[in-house]
Amino acid sequence: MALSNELLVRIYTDMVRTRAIDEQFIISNQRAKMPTAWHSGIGQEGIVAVIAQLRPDDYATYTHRGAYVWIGKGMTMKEIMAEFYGKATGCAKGKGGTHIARPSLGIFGRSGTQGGHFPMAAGMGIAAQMSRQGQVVVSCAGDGCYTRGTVHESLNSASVWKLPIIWLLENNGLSMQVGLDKTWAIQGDLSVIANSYGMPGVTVDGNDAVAVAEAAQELIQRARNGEGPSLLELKTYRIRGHMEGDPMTYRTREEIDMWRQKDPIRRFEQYLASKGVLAQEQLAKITKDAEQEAIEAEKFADESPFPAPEEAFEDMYAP
Amino acid sequence: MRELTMVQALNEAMKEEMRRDPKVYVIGEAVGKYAMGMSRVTSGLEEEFGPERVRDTGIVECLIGGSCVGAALAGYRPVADYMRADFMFPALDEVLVKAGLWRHEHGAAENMSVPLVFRASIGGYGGGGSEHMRAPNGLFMHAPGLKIVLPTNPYDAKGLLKTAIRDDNPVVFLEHRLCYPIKGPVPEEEYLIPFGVADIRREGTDCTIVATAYQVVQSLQAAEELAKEGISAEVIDPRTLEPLDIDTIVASVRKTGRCVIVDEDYIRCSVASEIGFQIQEQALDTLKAPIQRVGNPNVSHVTAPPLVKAILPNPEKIADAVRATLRVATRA
Repeated sequence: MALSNELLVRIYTDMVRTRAIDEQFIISNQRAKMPTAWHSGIGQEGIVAVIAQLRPDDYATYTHRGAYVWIGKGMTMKEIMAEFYGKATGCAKGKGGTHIARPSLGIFGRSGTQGGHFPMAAGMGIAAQMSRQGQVVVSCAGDGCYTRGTVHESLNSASVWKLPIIWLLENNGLSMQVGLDKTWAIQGDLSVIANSYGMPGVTVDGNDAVAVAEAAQELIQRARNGEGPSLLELKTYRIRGHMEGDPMTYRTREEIDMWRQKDPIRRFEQYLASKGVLAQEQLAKITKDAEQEAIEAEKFADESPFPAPEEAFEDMYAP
Repeated sequence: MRELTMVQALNEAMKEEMRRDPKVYVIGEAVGKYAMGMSRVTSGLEEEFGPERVRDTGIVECLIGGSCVGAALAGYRPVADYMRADFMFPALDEVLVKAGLWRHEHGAAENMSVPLVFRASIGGYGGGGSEHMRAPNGLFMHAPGLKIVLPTNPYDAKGLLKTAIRDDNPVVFLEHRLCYPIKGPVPEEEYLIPFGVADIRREGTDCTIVATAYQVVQSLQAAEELAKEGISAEVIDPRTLEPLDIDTIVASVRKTGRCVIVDEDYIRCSVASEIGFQIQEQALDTLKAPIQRVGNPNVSHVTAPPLVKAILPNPEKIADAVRATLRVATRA
């Protein structure tokens, strides 16, 4: 099915919004305004082309680099930013910090242990399958997380049960500071592991939003139809360090500059303009609006109160 | 009243709750049609509820635990069968952290909750060795966010499991393997047993014995022996460790002035250590002797029967601990 202009605009808008909140977080981190660390996903926004296609009642999991999921799934910048600031107005009342959650949008939170969310995503898949509402799960993680043992347990079981899950693999070639050559026995397309689990594995250029959207559309529909899980590998690149403050001694300036030329947002802009989906002034307005939204979210987070100390003792058990 | 074994009572609780609530499902290794061993608790479930609600798995401890948390967050009520509590160890991130902490660490956003039950058998006294025979009760009590249940008889087992399945929190439900064959009266009509209510299994005046799981059975035997010497022991079964009915325990210690705590886990940092500490916090002024702990003296669970006898509690060791609180010489 062709991608509608409406969807393309939505993807572009959320990619730009994801970039805007990311850049705002970098500034906040530099100004030491947050008790939390920031793991920038700049350069990897092509993932939005998957997330923006989800229904509100679909589930999505994320790792430490999660802005594309929160924004793509419909959370507000204010509730995200306030949470990172540890403020009472955050989506988790300041308790979560990096643990962002909005259950009504299918975002249940973050596993602090990398790869800990794979079994949980399988459980959401069980719930989706039993509910018979055509819901799907998108489980996002990088090539680093995919070396965990939880991946084997989860992908294998999900395929046995034909759970409606898209196992997204953000391949940026790095586990923190360690390259694929040291973490993976196979090189090239990692999606070949899907064969071992009897599910389709697809690799696309993660910086080509259109290619990502087309591949995801097919796999999401497949899952909705009850045809089971699949693995979607997005080949991409992390422009910034593992986290802010990473000296990045493991790669060259030339390599980073080369990838800046492949920026997914710039590429998508050229596509949208050439196809007449959005004119230059419309593209500029979307960018300006996103930056304004991020500035307002930062102001909201900064001016919001911290939770009262007593809040720490609330919510341990459900009533 | 009719009598059931604890396995039959647990099986009945599972069936009743699965009939009552379609959101309840079972997951684990060999829980389905060919259920064997510990999993006889799930026998007959796949025939009645089908493979979607009775999910046999491979050897996937992390998947079992984590998927229960994910499905619970999405509105389901999974009951996992881990066979042995030892087998939760590969999945401690899932069992202790994901289940126990998720709600609080996410600020209970939109009042999210994690309603699930992790069932597992505990306990030694067999030749299974140190990775099949443990009773890691203290591990779960140490971890915030979990509720912990240890039934000791068929009546309690059924009423407590039904409560566990309906609870909106993660519950670790530990069944001692030597309690499975115990028979006892179980009414035909439905009943629930609330968490946090200890059961005084035997009244006494000289010393309070607080015991968990199978140690309740052994403590009652010890109390019977002590009675012949004119020593009156009170035996308390807390039934749940979280919530813990410390009030009933403290009231008993205030009456007797002495206390022995029996738990099959390693003694160090154990359930016995925790309960003992809480007792001294609240009733130090009434204690006539130091609190005694009986448990595994921090060694692996060995196999040879004489060695098992050497490391685990038995009625003689429990009785000796009571005598120690009374400063009565132990019998050689």
